[in-house]
Amino acid sequence: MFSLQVDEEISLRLHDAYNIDGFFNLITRNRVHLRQHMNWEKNHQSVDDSFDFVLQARENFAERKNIPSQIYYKGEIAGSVGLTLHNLTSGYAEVGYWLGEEFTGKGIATRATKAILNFGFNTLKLHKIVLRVITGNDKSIAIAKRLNFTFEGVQIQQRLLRGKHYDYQVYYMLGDDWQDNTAPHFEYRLDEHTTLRPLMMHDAKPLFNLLDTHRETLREWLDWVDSQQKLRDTKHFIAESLGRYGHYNGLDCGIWQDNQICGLVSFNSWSLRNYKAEIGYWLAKPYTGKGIMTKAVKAMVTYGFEVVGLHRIELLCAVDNKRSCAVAERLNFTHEGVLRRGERIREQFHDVNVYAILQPNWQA
Amino acid sequence: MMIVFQYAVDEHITLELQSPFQTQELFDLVNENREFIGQHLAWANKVDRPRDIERYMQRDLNGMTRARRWAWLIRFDGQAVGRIGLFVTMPTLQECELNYFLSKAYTGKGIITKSAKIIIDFAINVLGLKHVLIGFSTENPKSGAVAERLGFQYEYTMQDGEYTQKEWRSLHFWGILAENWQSNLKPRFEHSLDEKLSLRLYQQHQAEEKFELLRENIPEFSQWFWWANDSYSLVQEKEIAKKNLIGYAQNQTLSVTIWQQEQLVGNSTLSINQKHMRGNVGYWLDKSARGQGIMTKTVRTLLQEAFRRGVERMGILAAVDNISSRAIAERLGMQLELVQQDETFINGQFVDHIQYSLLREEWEQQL
Repeated sequence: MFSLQVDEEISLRLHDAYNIDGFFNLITRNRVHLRQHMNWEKNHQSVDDSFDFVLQARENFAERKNIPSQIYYKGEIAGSVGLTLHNLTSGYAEVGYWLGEEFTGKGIATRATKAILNFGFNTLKLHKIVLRVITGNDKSIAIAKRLNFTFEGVQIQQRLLRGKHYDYQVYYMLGDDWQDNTAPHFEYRLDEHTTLRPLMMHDAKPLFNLLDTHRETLREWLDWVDSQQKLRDTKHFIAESLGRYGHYNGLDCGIWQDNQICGLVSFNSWSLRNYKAEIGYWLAKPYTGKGIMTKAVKAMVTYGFEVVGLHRIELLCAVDNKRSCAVAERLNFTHEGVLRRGERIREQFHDVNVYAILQPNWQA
Repeated sequence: MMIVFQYAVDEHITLELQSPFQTQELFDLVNENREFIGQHLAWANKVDRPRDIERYMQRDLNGMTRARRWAWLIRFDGQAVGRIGLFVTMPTLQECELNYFLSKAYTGKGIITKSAKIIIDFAINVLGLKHVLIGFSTENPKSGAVAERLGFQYEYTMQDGEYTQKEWRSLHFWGILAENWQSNLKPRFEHSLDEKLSLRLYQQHQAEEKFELLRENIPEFSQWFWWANDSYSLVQEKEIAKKNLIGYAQNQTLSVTIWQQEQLVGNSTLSINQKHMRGNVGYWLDKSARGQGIMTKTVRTLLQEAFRRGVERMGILAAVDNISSRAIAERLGMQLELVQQDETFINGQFVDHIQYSLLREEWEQQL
């Protein structure tokens, strides 16, 4: 499960379609509560509405407009916290959150907000984050004060809520003044050293450096590295990758070993319609032979079957790429056959092994 | 023989629907006639390399994906001698304009008048457009004569309507309304397989007909294709047409409708992955048209086209129980490679699919 671990009780997960019922039920239970300061609960009349909302949230994330996340408290969905990325050039964002009424009074909002601010300031390196509170929402003002935000001013009659205009009290925090240095990530922790993190734009530099350092060994089976000549190319690749994520066509995860990116593992040709995806992966040379890839693929398959709800996961690799095929065999994928000349790498055609695993046959 | 969609105007003249493969011929044509064409078409002087023509062609190809622009290469005895195009200027008014140019050596044979007549037939009788216009400057009396010969009438003059030869020229627009157009001919731009059977590039104006045929076959197709169900809509069908045309413009997709005499009977789509130089064919045929070898003939033609384009491997993927679909792959000498378990979710259940393939040299051995 990909999440940003706040503490033992709280974790944040990127908005996603799984547990859509839980999300919708939380809103339904809290309509009156939410209506006090917000006006969007009426948009969620059915699970389908919530599903559409989540798809949109996913697209916004892919377009780098938002970091939308759901708050989980002791494994149960409790609310939402997120950053709206107003201007990435000047590093200006806004934080927002809401909680179901039954989860208030436990310090959840403060802890979750603090974590997302850590993510904003220390991971995304944002410069300024504001918090706008409707006049009268004293609980939120208390959170702003507790987090040492500074009062910036009032936006007069900025917000229309059920026919009446309200003022916004604006509070802000600058990255330079933010005291906490923790840089958390949305990640799937495999063990003490290894995690998977959905690829985001701030990974461009470490990813490019990795490719650039190991391009000679990588290009044997991955001629794609030849297209990665400048940091700009890697940024372009990540933008495309996020686009695929936004449309449920793919998911690229960085494999991180002791905070150093060492490869990627991905769902490609992801089809929600047919409950299937193709898994792809690569690892830079110094990190091979340590079982990292088997672990990473195993985690992705588990995630695909148990969280996403996939039924079939395919794994295609050139017959001569023994190391890659070994991963599939180690994880008991079924060898379905060989696509003759299924792949062309630098003008050279290769036969491709097709492996697959079905959900009922998977033993994590 | 490569697949081209053409219409024979007479024994010498054919109109060949635009395709990215025409770049070189079109460049040579413009290059050799630069001065002559440049008299009335400012862009001709800017064409220095095939890439410039490619950009100009991409505009028309992109226009075709949105059903806004069409263009045809004019051939005389097989030789590329000109180009004629159609541009829907005002979709809400169903209004379009014709444009064309001809190699100097071929003027005076009535080539443009004859070709324009066919394109107007296509605009009015096939696309259902209401109003066709031709615009030309005072310096271009030949175009004026074409308009007159086609029965167009003077409509209006656009002051300083074009900037050519470093001067502003007024454009005179002549037009005709559909109700005054006397011909009922519906020209078909097609690739003939035999005297009865032909392929046409699948475009939006065929969507309704294809959709109707699909609907009749849905009870059967819903066993084989995940997309074939009662909620499949005409809007989706038009999206497919557009998507395929985008692929056509990029040399990645070729989706054809199959016509037996005047009857639409099926559809087949070739897609090519240019990175890996491998391709795939998908197809379906109306129930009434089966058992005559139509689909085998069609797929064979598409295979040939794919290998001509340099593909190294062609594949066919079929549901394991779809015997008639599998028979086509087998008849074409394709090799069974693997069974992909639970490949597709159809009608509430997972369906195994079977993968066939044919390599380049296996294809060449068959010839």
